[in-house]
Amino acid sequence: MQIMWIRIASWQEMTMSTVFHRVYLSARPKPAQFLMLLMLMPLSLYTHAEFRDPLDWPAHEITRLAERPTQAVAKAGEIMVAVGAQGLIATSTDGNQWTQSPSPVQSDLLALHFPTPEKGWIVGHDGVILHSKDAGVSWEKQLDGRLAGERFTEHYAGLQIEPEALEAAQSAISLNYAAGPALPLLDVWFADAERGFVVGSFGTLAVTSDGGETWEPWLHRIDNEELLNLNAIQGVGDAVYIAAERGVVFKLEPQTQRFEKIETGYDGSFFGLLGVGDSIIAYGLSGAAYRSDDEGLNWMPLEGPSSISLTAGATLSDEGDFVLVNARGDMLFGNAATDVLQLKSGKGYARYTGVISLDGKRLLITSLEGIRSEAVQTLSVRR
Amino acid sequence: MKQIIKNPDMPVISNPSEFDRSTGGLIERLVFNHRTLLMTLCLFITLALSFFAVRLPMKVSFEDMMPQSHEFIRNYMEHAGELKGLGNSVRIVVSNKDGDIYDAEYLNTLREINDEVFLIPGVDRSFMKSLWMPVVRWTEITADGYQGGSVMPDSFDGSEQSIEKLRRNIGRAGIAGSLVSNDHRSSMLFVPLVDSDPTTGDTLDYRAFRDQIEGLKRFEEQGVTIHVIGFAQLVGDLIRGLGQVLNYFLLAALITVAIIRLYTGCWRSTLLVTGCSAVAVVWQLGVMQIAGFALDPYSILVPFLIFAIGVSHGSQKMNGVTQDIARGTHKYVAARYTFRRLFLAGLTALLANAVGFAVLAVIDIPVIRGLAAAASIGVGVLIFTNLILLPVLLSYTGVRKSRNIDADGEQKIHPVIRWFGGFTDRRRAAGVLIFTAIFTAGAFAVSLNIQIGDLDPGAPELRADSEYNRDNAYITSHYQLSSDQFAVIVSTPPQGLINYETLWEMERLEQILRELPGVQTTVSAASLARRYTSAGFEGSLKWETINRDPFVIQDALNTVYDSNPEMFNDGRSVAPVVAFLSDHKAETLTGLVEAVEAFAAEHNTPERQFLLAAGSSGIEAATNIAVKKANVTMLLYVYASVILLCFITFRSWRAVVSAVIPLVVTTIFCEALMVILGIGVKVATLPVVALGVGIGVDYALYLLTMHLVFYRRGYSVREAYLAALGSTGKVVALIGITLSAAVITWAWSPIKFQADMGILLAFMFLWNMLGALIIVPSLMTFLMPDRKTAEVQQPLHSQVREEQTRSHQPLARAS
Repeated sequence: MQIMWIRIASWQEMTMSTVFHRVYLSARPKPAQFLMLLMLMPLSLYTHAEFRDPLDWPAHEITRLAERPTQAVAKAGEIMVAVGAQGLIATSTDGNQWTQSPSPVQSDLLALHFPTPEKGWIVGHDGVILHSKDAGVSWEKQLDGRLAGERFTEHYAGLQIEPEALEAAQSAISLNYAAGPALPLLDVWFADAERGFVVGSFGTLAVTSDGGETWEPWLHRIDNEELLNLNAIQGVGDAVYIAAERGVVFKLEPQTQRFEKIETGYDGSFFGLLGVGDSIIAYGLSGAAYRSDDEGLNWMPLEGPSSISLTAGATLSDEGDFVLVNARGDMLFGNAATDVLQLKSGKGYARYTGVISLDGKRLLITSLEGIRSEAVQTLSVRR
Repeated sequence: MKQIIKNPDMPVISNPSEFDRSTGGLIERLVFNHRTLLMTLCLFITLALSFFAVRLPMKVSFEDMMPQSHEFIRNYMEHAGELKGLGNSVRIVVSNKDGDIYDAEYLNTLREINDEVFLIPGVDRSFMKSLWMPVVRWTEITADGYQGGSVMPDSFDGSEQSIEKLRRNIGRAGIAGSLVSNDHRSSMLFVPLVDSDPTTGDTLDYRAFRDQIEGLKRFEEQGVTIHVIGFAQLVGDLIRGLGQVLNYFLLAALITVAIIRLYTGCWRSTLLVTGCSAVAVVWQLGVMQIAGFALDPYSILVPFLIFAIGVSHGSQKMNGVTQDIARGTHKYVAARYTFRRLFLAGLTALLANAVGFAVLAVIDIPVIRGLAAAASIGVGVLIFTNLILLPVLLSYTGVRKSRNIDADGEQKIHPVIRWFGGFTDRRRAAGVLIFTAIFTAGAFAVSLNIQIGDLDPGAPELRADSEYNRDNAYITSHYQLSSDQFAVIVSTPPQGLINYETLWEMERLEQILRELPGVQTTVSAASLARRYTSAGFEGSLKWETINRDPFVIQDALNTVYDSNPEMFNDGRSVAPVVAFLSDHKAETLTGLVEAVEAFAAEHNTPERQFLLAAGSSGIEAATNIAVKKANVTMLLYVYASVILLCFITFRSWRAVVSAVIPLVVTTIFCEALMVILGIGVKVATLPVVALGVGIGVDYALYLLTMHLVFYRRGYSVREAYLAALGSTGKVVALIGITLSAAVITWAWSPIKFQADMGILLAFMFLWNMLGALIIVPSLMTFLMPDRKTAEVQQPLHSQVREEQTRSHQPLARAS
């Protein structure tokens, strides 16, 4: 009988059939044991595993990190931090050896930003916001789509603003969270360790001023009646820009604390923004890239050699050199002083998602096919 | 046995008319008093059965090698119809001898091959894949959703441009490593097969299929090389191998004839003994056909065994008759005496064989059951042909007088026999036993390392250097996705796959499987759906995810179905999670099974079941589990039946112990040998121990029966043993050598498992023989020491006295 107890000590984790199976097969129970088994059966009916939401379950520990799909990479001081599918967070000091950091969620992670060498934030699917105070080693969840749905609704319920704007924001919130935490946060940018922004699908925009302790929805502080997808957010100089659908860029007006809409003349989606010196590069769908040299007022297209969507970019030098990467594994090198992008194919097909410059000579690139590094090519033609 | 004890002096009768036909048991009278009738009957039966025997079909089936009642197999059978990519299939790789696949001539040849394969009966055309099949598509996610098309451009005309287009499509389709080799010098035709034709209902004719695939080799003249792997090809190779096995049968028969002839120096008796055994084989095959069995690569070995066992028993009869005739007894009387002396021992031995083989039927794998049935039928037949027909035939023909008998009809004690008799010396016996104990302990320690399952890569049924395994090695080294696939079956209610939770759970399982040793990569509808989700979001890579919205999931799955229809069924209720393995070692498979069982225990719900198993490796995992379990069960049953039969025969537990211990020693040695030779416990080696023990006990039965007869008459151990050696013992030695020589010919079989069986059986036969001749007397020396009067039954008292007075020459009365 003692053996029986040990065998079924973990009965809570078993289904009825496995309890029956194991006890029956291993012990060939005597009638008394059968009786006990029968008594256990009703209990085990309730032990069927309910589905555990990715938001409620820490990420699996995995090996071969560099082969997994990754979405973005950023520097926390000297440490590189990459994020990816199923809650993957990996850190590295050299770009070759990666160590997994425990993640409190299994949600697909999409973007990250470290305003200081220690403090950083990750956003991703299911509306998660994760925060680290130790350069990416440990992470805690600050917000997710379920909490956001409740809190944002509460927030607007107690907010005294123009009724029309309030109604628009409230209907957007109820629409966006109707299906639960189904929408992703697509990008995050912090001005410093306290103040930061997150953006996401269907106009999702939230702001914190206390390092992410509380997040305030800003749907009423952006000219986005159509609820365009907000794909990326980036501070350039003193200004903050959002890259959105339909060629729209939003810029934060310091006086009004509102994001105001700028039409760039492009009608596709922008997936990212890059500050190069005083210039801003917006890039996105079908290989489109636009540049503004006057803080977003006027935009001009860059000559792109490919129609593959551009997904990420990085500055390479103080002389205005930058690189954009696309969804086919190409790198497009450019300089803020020219209108031409030069294409260089990478090491074979991969869907590039993120890029940082290691030392001006090597690039560390994340892709859905894994992490890889590529050589920087200096631009042959400069204006 | 009773008769011999009551009539220890079967008198020498040289004139058959002086013989009292009413003596002997009922069976003896029945047989010998109606000789003519019996002969006619046997002739008639032989003719009739040979008519059936030639009609015995040869059959190899995918499913017959699976443990039918195992949970994994039942799960697989239940869902087999829904799992298209994981059933029976062949992969044909066509490589360009000089250059890569982007070559108009190569592509043209590939098209010809493709068209020919497409038309072969049994091919499941809607799921066949190759560069020339329109179902092989590329997809690209763009701003407007996704676009796609056949990898082979519709307008392909062999021009530079269209080849360039193909090259790009191959890149976009991501089929490098699966349908196109890593080095782009070859491409694959993936050919799923239907086990039975849906229109005609005919089952797949493997031999015809293989012949047609073999016919493709003519394209090799067009500058390509063709490699084929897959079960159908394997079976074809096995069937071809079976043809060669017949040569080994002839060789074995010739060896047997040669050895017997050498021993007896008499053609008449040699041909009678082998002839009767051949008749037994004919009967066996005929009965199998009538009973509805077929020959498969396993049961084809049974006729060998039956022949060899037949020779074994036949030689005992022949030897008895020879000895009687040598003393001047008339051949008719000699045959009857021999029958009287040995029928019961022979019957018990054959029944022990039959039971030993029948026990194999506890293993629920159809090929093993077929083997068990074939062997049991064969042994049953031997009772008639070699225990009854042969003595009757000998009563007609007689034998040539043996050279071993001197003028006054007394047999000399051969020096070899005298040497073996020395094992009844207490000191030598003790030495033997200590030596055996030490060696057995050592062998036991080695045998603990025995592996379950197949240890080598490729098809373990064939040799490593066979064409099939070379093709397999080529394909493994040039393609990413191995053919060792382990699949978990996900089962839900209809449309149940269109569910966020289900897809997430499938991905979780993939994540766990990928971490296991031996897993190269995994694939499932979930990980493919993840990829296609972004199509609905302007191709944004950030949307490569599994979304909670059922409409998004449905769209993604529809796209998956377009390009990978084998990843789930029409009803969206059954889908495999496939792990590609780098090997199929039992350790790897056990790791997978344990991980999946743990996952299922934690994640299964009534609506969402993760079930083991499908795919070649999934089935192998089930087989390994069944084999491991059966190995123990079978040993228990075999030994239980052998012990029981020995006890019925000997009525002495000491004799039973003496008979069984050598068998146990051999069994342990055999397992140690398997470890040393790198042979795992598998379907093919499972029957070896049962056969080895079943046949091995014969030796002890014949030897100890005679030993006990003399011993109970009051002979000393040494005298009894020498007497037993002189009558049945030397034939035991002869038979051990003959059987081993016959089965060792299998070692040259192109079929690896037959070779393994041959080596192991030869070892067991030889070792059992040595055990019977050396360990048995050593054990008897201690277990049944000389006690001249104690154990002798009362009615025999007077005879014993009489014997003792003449004991200076015991062998005179021995037989």
